[in-house]
Amino acid sequence: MQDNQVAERSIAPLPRNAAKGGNRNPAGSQQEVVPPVQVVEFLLGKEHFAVDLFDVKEVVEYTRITRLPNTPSYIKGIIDLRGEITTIIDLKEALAIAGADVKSEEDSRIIVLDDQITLSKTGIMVDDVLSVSTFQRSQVDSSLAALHKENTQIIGIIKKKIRIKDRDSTELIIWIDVKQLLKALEQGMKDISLTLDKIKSEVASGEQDS
Amino acid sequence: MATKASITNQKVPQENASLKKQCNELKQDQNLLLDEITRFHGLVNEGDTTATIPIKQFTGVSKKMVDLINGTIETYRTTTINQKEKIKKLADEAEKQKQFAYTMVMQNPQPQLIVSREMQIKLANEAFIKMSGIPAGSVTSMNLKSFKVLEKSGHNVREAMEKKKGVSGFVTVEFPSGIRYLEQHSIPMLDKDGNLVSLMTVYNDLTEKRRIEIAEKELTEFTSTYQATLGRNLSLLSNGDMNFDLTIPEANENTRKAAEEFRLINTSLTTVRNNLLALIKDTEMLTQASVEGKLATRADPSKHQGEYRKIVEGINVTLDKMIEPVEEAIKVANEYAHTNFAVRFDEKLSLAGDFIRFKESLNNIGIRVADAVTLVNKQVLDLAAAAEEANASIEEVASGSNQVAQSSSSVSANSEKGGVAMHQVLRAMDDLSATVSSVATKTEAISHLTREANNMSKKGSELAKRTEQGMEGITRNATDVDAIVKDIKSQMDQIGKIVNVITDLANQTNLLALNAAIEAARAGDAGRGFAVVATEVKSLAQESRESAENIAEMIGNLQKKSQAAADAAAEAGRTVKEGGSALAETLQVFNRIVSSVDEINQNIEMVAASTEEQAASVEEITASVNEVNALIQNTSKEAVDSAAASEETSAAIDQIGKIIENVNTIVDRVSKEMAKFRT
Repeated sequence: MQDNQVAERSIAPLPRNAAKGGNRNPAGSQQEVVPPVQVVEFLLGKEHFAVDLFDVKEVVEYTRITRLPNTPSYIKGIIDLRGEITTIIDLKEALAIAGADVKSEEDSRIIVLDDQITLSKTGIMVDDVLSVSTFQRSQVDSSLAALHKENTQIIGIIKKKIRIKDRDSTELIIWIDVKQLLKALEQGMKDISLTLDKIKSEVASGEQDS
Repeated sequence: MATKASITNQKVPQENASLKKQCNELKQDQNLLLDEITRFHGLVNEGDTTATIPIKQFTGVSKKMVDLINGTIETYRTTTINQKEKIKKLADEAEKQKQFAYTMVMQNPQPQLIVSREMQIKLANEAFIKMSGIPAGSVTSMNLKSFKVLEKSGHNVREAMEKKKGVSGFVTVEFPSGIRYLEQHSIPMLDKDGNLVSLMTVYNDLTEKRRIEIAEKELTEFTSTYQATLGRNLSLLSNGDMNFDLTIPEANENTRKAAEEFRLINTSLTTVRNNLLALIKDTEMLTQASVEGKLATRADPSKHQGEYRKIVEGINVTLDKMIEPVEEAIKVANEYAHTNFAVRFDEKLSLAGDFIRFKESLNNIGIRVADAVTLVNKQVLDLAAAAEEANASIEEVASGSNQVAQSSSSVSANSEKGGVAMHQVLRAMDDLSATVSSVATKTEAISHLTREANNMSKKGSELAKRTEQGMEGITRNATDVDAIVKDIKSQMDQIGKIVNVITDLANQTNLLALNAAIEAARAGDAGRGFAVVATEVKSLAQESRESAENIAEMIGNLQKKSQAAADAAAEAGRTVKEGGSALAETLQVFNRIVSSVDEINQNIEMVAASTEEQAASVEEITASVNEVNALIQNTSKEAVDSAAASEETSAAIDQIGKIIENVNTIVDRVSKEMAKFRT
């Protein structure tokens, strides 16, 4: 069901989609009203990105990341998040955003993804998390996604009205589909998941041994 | 008139019809008669002189009556016509008379006026209008009284009216044509009862006559005035006085012609005077020339005319005759003047009277002088010989005296030279003395100056010391500033740390807010209120972070500035240290100056002392020199006296020599001069 919803959303956001996603829409009873979009805005380099709020569980500060050997370059490593091993994906690496900025890794943030969309607990490392924002559907331009159907990682471009020095301006926010992204990275992720499972079981047996 | 009586109807007895008929016929006849008479009466009244009553209609008595009436009328008419003709004849006569009288007045060449008793002009004839220039139209509206009478004499119009008798008088009246002098005859015109009806005035215009009288009178007066002047002028001329009165009385139109003639007379008179004056002038000129001895001067006869020329020529001939002997005399005298007394008057000249005596006298002068000169020549030669001898003796005496004079004057010159030398020494000593005293004065001034310099350098030294103390203070202060700045810096660092903590807190708050927002959003409607709070918290956290960043920046700036202050203070300290060392050097220099000045002072005092000694010596020397000088001057004076005496002697001898020489010279000259005379 979730995959279906993502697919539909990526093609064309329609009012009836909102009705289908009624469990997530508090205003679902009003079928004619287009539900607004809630996203978490963040920075990668100088560009603004956004992910669906409901794909996010929380945002945490950077902690030391333990690197894993023999993993793709976009797998940053793992951290211990309140007792749970969490895989950290370097989103810049994954999205092939060139020119990693000078900002130190310590200032980064980790967006922990919702457990429902991941096999194992996963977080994506971003330069900074800005805010939780609500946009109207009309502010989302999906024409780019429609042109490049094969690239389904981008849902659309959100045109955010901002004021800079008393002048109206539009900031473009790239709304990416985390689930599609994870699907693309699936293989690597599966490997890691298996490895992690093995580690877990070993740890468990180790614990049993001891 | 009888026809005017009316005939009324009478009561006729009607006894018989014939009577009645007769009565009726009579009645009709009478009524017809009445009608005719009435008509006739009307015609006559209307002026119809030929009217008659038609007789044919009537018969009987009426016819007779009518006939009588017509006859009466005819008789009357005939009489009336005769009378009328007579009257007309008379009237014609009267008219003729009137016309005659009118013509008599109007055509009269004498101006005439007819005036009323009120003197209103009733008639003015043409002569009057012409004379007066009053327009014919307006003259009859004038009154005699309105004439402008300037002057009157004799009997006037009023008298004529009162006396009813013709009178005559004279009046001068100003008419538009000009002022007229008139003879006026007033003739009263009376009716047959002797009442004054009007008055006639007849005028005789005497204006022209009077003018000619005046002109003749003026001419006579003018001529007699000039004749008197002319008489006086001729009298002056006869007395040789040329100051003529050539004035001619001012002429008017009556005397202009006479004045012209008088002017011609005056011109002739002036010519006479000028000729006489020219003659007198030439005569005077010749007289003056004779007085001045210019006998060659002559007058020009051509300037004179007639008899005057003869006079001048006569004078010229007289002068020619006089000049010959005079010129000969001049020639002879001139020869005498040139020492030629051998010459004599030319015997060929024919002389007469006084001129012969003149010739003899002149010749005698030559003869006598020649004799005298011969005698003088001889005596001068004798004198020359004597003078020569005297001269020789005197020259001998003079040479002796000269030798004495030379010796004493050389003594005098020497002692004078000595005196001059002594003077020079004295002046030198005076100069020396002055120099010494000026040295003393100067050393004193220098001493004063060095004392002042000493004081100044001591003061300077003190000031430098004080400055040094000040510098030390500054150094101390700079150090203090440095310490304070360091303290500030450490405190700033502390603040920086605190700011970092705040930033951290803000960051974490931000993150918490973000997560809270996420949670709230996920909670849907239930979390909406919390979402607002989360957003608020987030923005607060954001603000806190920004404030903290600002503070950090400020602190950074402050740290930089305080560092700069510290640096400046350190620099100041360094500079002060350098200044301190410079000051120390200055102090040393001052001290050196003080010691140098002291030394100078000592030296100068020594100089002053020696200068005083010098001055004393100079005075002593001066005194000695003065003594010597007095001695020399004495010697000199005595030598001069001696020289003077011998010079006097020498001079006297010279004088004698000169006199003798003079005598010689004179004798020489006299003999030379005498040699010139030819005898």
